[in-house]
Amino acid sequence: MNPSSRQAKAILSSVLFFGAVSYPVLSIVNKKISVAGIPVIYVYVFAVWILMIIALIALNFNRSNRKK
Amino acid sequence: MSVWVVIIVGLIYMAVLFAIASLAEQLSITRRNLLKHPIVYALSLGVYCTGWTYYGSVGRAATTGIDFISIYLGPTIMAGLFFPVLYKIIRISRTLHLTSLADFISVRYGKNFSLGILVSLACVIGVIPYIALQLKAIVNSFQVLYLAEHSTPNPDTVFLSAVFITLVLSFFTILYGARSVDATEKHPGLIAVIVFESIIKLVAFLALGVYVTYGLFDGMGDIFSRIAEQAIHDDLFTLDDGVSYQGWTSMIVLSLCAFLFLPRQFHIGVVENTNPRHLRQASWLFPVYLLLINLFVMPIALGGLLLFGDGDILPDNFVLAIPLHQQDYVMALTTWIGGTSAATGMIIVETIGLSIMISNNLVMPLLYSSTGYPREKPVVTQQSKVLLIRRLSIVFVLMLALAYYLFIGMQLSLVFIGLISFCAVAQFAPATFGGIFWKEGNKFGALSGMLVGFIIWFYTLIIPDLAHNGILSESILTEGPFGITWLIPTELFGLQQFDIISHALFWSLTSNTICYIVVSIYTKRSSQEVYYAAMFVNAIAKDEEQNNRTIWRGTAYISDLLNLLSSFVGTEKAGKLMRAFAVRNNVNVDEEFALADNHTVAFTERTLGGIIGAASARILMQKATKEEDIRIDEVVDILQENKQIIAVNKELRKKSTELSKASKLLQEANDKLLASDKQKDEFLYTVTHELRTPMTSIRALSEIVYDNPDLDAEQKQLYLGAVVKETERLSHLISQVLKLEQFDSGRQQLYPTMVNLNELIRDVSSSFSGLIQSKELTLDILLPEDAPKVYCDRDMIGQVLVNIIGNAVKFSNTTIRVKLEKASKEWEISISDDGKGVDSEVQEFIFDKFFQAKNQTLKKPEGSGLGLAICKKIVQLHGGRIWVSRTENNETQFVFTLPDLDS
Repeated sequence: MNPSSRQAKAILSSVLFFGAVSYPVLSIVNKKISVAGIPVIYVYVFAVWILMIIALIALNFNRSNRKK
Repeated sequence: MSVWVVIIVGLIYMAVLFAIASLAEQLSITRRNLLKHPIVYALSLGVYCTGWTYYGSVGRAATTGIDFISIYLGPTIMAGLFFPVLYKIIRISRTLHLTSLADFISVRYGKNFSLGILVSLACVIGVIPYIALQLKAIVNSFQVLYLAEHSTPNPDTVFLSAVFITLVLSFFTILYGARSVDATEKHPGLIAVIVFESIIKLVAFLALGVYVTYGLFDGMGDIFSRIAEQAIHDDLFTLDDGVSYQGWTSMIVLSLCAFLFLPRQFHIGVVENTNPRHLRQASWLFPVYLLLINLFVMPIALGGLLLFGDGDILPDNFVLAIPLHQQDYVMALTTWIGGTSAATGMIIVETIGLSIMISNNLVMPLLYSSTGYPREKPVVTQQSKVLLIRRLSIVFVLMLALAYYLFIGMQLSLVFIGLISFCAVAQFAPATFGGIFWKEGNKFGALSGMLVGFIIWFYTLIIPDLAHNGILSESILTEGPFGITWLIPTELFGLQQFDIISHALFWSLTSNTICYIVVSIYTKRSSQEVYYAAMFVNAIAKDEEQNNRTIWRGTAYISDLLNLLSSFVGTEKAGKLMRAFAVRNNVNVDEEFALADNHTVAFTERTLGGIIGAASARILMQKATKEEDIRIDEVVDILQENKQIIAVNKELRKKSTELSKASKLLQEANDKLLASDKQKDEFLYTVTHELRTPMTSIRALSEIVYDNPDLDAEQKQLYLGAVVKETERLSHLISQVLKLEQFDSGRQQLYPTMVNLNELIRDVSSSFSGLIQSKELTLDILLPEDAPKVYCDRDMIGQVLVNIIGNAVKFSNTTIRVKLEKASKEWEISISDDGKGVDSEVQEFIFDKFFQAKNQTLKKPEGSGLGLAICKKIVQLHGGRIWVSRTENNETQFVFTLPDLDS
């Protein structure tokens, strides 16, 4: 992956992440429902957070690029 | 648990910090790469998580639910923007030796002093309460432990512990944060301690989380469902509609800005960064850190609610109160150490960041502009003066924080003070982002934007606070100043729907941004600004430094510059720096009275800037040299020129790669030419050799006939017959050579027609029938049913067939098989025989010219040795391939292909 496309993807994931944890998307899970006993908004925020981290790992964890 | 145990553990912990710092300082001398690792960088960024995270998040989670987490989502968003933003800031700061955000902003806008002063003052005013907050966290946590043994609080212990902690931290910060005079030098001792504290606070908090969630309760689901059963805390499970969404989003925006602009974040993220490439690993390691430290906040908060109900224990103290309630003192002490490390780490770095700003942007510019450049004073005083100012600034910052805590901050909540600080530093966002992405942004815009932003910040956040604390009349919040309702600080211009933080953020940041843009558009930039704007926006790399002409005109002597530098870094080091620069840039600095060129002047100013800040360095340079003003059009010319130089360099690099490519091609062509020349020689040699053999026999035989007229007729007939045969062979050979030459030179023309291959093979085969019968061989012909038509030269392909079948007939013992079949996109004609075959090693050479002649192992040459070479040429000319192989039943198989027109 060349640096500029990696940069574009990183910016895109930031924008998507911001959208996913903001109004109005957040209002979808802002309900009194539980998943395995845990409130759904709590589960949702952590899940999206983990997805963002996975995206950042995929974009940056690359041995061949690290040597550069 | 005795208080003395707590005090002893605390002292041991402090001693460990000192030990780690001095060990790291010592080790870094011999092992320079000790702390240069992405993980170290990512962990040191963890200084973002303070006592607020440790105690405050739990407190907030227990009162308002999940919204505590929003201030960790902002930095995670920033992690995705590390490369366009933070990487750029780091590169610019490294190139220009910038050591604080105040320096960064003031240099970007033409080394403007007022901007540096404004940024520094705003940081001091905005961040001191935040440091006080951390002191409060430490003292409070100590009080919680104290109250576990004593029933009544003791005000003396509050005061004593606050003063004691401030003193220890001052001592530590001075020792490891203000060691040397060059602020661009890294502080390995400091970083080691911050990394250590980051690990301690994470481990301690996770340990407590596991202890509460799985020790006291039965997992997260259990805690949540027990709370749900109580039905009094339902509001914790969701965000309130309306107001909460605004608050949530503003906290994300605030934390995103705070992650960049808080003095401690800028110091760790930019100034202490050892390698900008570490950002790549840090961009995911740091969010992982944030996620882990937040994982158990909610379970601990809810656990606290379950254990204590709405009793008299403050939610901010749950973290310590839970293990104390269970009488698990080891866990309580571990938690306390974790909280202390979170708070002390923040205080140390924040103080260093602030002290650099205070000394470099407030104290030193005033000092040097009033007293002037002290030429006559002994060298040492300048160095120690800078250090003294830095150290006094540290003490000043900490004392201010202590005073704030003791006199004002006792009654404020942890989170609110933090958000006030966040909102203050968010005011740097327009000037900084504009500075690195928008060339037209200028100092008037930055100055007016930030001023307006800070005034609104003060009016909408500090005034209400003062009113609440009774310093101002409360009526200002209900009726507005002088009864003007649209000026009510919390409902500015009648905006009522927002919570106080969102309200302040909205008005301050929007008016700041609008001012910055509008004023920038309607005012002109100075020459210095034009230059630095281009430099910041393009983020010129350090190695391109020589390509750039700097904007400076005037007279300066090398000796003056050297003296100036010496008085701040010492004579020896100044000489070393100057010589290294001279070698890098090919400048002569050895002559005593030589005039310095622009690069040397710029270098001296940059290096000085690293020590005393850009603003003070500017003042000193003005005094040490004779400067002339530069007009704006000259700057534009220089920038144009720099751009051109870069473009020309790029062009040159491109040209040179093209050139080397071309020369490589040429070399290859030459090699080919030489090889074919050699081949030609060899060919000529073989041809003449081949011609001589029949010539010799013709000559010998005709001489015999000529010399012996009385030979009998029968013998004469025999000799003459041999001569005729040799002559035929000779002419055959010559015609073959001519034909081959025609192919080689490309003069051979093809006359292609649609040819029925089945028919052609049958025709050629039948011409051999007599010979085959006489040798008692069998000929199998395998042809496809629908006769394939191929576009080719009938005579030539016929010649190939004659040649190969002829060879087969010559060598075969019993059977010859001719087969035509379709192979993907071509027709494959194979002729196999059960003769002696072709050795596998010579298979690839058999189609070379005169292969037979050169291989003298064959007893008697049969044919000219050019037949197969001609076959190869013909097949190649038709776009096919020819090869020889051995089949499974040990037959020799010659195969050639012809492209199929239909596919």
